[in-house]
Amino acid sequence: MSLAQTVGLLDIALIAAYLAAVAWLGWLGYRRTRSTSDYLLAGRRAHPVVMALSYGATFISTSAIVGFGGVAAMFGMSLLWLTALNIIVGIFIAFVFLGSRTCRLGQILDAHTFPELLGRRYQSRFIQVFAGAVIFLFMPLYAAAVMIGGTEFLTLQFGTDYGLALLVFAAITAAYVFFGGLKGVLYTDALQGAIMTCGMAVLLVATYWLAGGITAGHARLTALKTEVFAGHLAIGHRGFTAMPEFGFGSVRYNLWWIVVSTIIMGVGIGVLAQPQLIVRFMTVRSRQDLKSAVGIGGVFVLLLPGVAYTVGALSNVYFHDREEIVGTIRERFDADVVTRREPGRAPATLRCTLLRIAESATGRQHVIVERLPDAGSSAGLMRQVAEVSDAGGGLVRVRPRATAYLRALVRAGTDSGGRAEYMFNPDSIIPTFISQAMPRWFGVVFLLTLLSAAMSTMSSQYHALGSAIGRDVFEQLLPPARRQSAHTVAIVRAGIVVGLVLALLIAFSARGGYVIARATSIFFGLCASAFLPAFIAALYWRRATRAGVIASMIAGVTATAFWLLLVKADEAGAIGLVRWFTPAVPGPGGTTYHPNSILWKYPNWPVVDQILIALPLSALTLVIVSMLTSPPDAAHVRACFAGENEESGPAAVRSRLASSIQAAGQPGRKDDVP
Amino acid sequence: MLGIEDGWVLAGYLLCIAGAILCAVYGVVSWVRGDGAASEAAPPRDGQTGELIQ
Repeated sequence: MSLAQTVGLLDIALIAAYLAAVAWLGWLGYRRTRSTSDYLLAGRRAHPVVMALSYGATFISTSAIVGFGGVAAMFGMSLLWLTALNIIVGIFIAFVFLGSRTCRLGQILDAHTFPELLGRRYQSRFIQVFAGAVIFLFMPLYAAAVMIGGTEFLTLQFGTDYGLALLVFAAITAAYVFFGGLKGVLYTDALQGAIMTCGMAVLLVATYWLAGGITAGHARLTALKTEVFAGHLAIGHRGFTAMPEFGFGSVRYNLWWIVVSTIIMGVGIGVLAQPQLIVRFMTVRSRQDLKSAVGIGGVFVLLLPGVAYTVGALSNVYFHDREEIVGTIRERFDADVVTRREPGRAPATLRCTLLRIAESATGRQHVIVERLPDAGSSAGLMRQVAEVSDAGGGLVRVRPRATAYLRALVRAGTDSGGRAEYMFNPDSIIPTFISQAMPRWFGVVFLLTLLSAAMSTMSSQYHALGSAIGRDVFEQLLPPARRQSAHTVAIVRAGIVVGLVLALLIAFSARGGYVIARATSIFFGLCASAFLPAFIAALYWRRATRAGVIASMIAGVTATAFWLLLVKADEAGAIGLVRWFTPAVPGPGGTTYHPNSILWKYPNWPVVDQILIALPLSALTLVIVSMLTSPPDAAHVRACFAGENEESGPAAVRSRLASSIQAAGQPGRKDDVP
Repeated sequence: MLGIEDGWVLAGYLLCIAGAILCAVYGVVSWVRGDGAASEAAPPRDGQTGELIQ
């Protein structure tokens, strides 16, 4: 079968037109990139609308649409609190209270990257190198999450191999950021932001229409609480329009801590310290431009994650009430479907009866749950889920009547006995919903939306990652005489390639268990704990000292690493080190296993997100160490804050800062590796 | 209200819409107000930022 038959000529034409437009904009960025400042900061003259769309398109990725949308389908509309935080914290507070000061400080200090901003504000090369290294090492985790989101959709929509789709996806994105620098990224982001907005707006209207309207759709979703998966009920799921059960000290409160601490707070607060977003504040000409961009940013975030989470939750109504597959049953078989993988232990499974159906209209193969164990029965009775009826002409009509979680059944490979292994994969929910509920043409529009979402975020991730290793680590470690910026761009590009390979390796090996949302959350939480106190103090607290900031960053990274390695069960289990520190305990069937958290005896602690521990610790460390050490250089601090209280522009302040540095006989920055 | 049974989830739903409206109004007001801001703009580059890419 040819590519055109598999994918469709319309699909190919639209994708080709889109890629041509992106390539042209990338080329335009390349042509207009003449200096390091152009490559790193788009010449500091980005239009506020372009900057706002770029910020939004970078902020919102396939991770938000596919990953968190799938989590919303699984856990319900409580995730809308993340959208609220994204708008109020991620846009309003970020732009008005942090962005405007960042813009001015960036100009005064002539900083080109987030680590450079911190390094120059605190007159510390160590801070710049440390921050750059953290970004370079951990950004690939987030990049992998974004890649998986786009790849899951490609795999489902076109039936392509997961590995091949992953490679194609990554290569296209890396190609244009490699050449275009931040100008190319900003131009393409603006186009992609516009496509994403249109695609998601259509999706929202269509989904509410399918669900019967706003109030009726929500009411139907509320009624589906009786269908919640038993494993989710056990950890506190109370329905798709209700918050999980709140409390501490029992497994039945686990879901509240997962949703609120990891999903809502980890990402909602972590966004304030994202290097690839902060650098955008330095691309505009003035603070006024930033304030003007707030409106577009707020509406953009409402229309993207807001729509994704609403649609994700409402997909339950579609799958349960409306979905029908007409075709022929190819196979009816029993299988152990994986519901949860816990490293170091055999996966948790559910013995289900599955149906393999060939859809007559599209030829697409579906595997759905026909029967599963009745959670209320102790006698091992099975509950009928799917309804099968005669459709005439030798065909059957199958109504899956499943929740989104049960419907997102994917083949996960083969088990040790060579049999096909299946798992419920929340990251497949949104792609499945689009391909089943929406017309074929919208599948292509949504593919462009997802391509845009992934490419805009990944291009900025690679840009931040490359800048971190090139400008913030490599250039800073060279002797001053050899620091030539002409070499920086070459190192940045080499960094992009290394980051891409790392992200690909992670994306190849991680799939299932809502890994997209978890990986995103880890990176956001890490950035918050390592950088947020230092960043806010850089803008607002004159007394913050270099030693205080270094101690705070180290405390934040250390506490995050400790929590991820030894306490938070899913992440610690995946890494495996924790099993050296936990005793062997009896498991099912006479087996033994090592728990994946050193706090395994204390319910809820193994699901509490690291941000709740590491961020307060990091902030406290900054305050205490700063108060215990000598105040920073008064002239430097005065220069950094000068623009906040006087009329002189950043150029004048920067000139005065340079004079004061020369008068003091100091280099541009103190060398202070502790 | 709106078919959502839990007050917390309803509050989150409404807060999303209210937050976006707040941002939109703030952005429009700032846009209308702010032309003098151009004088605040920094020159395109100087010093370290001016090296050409070779």
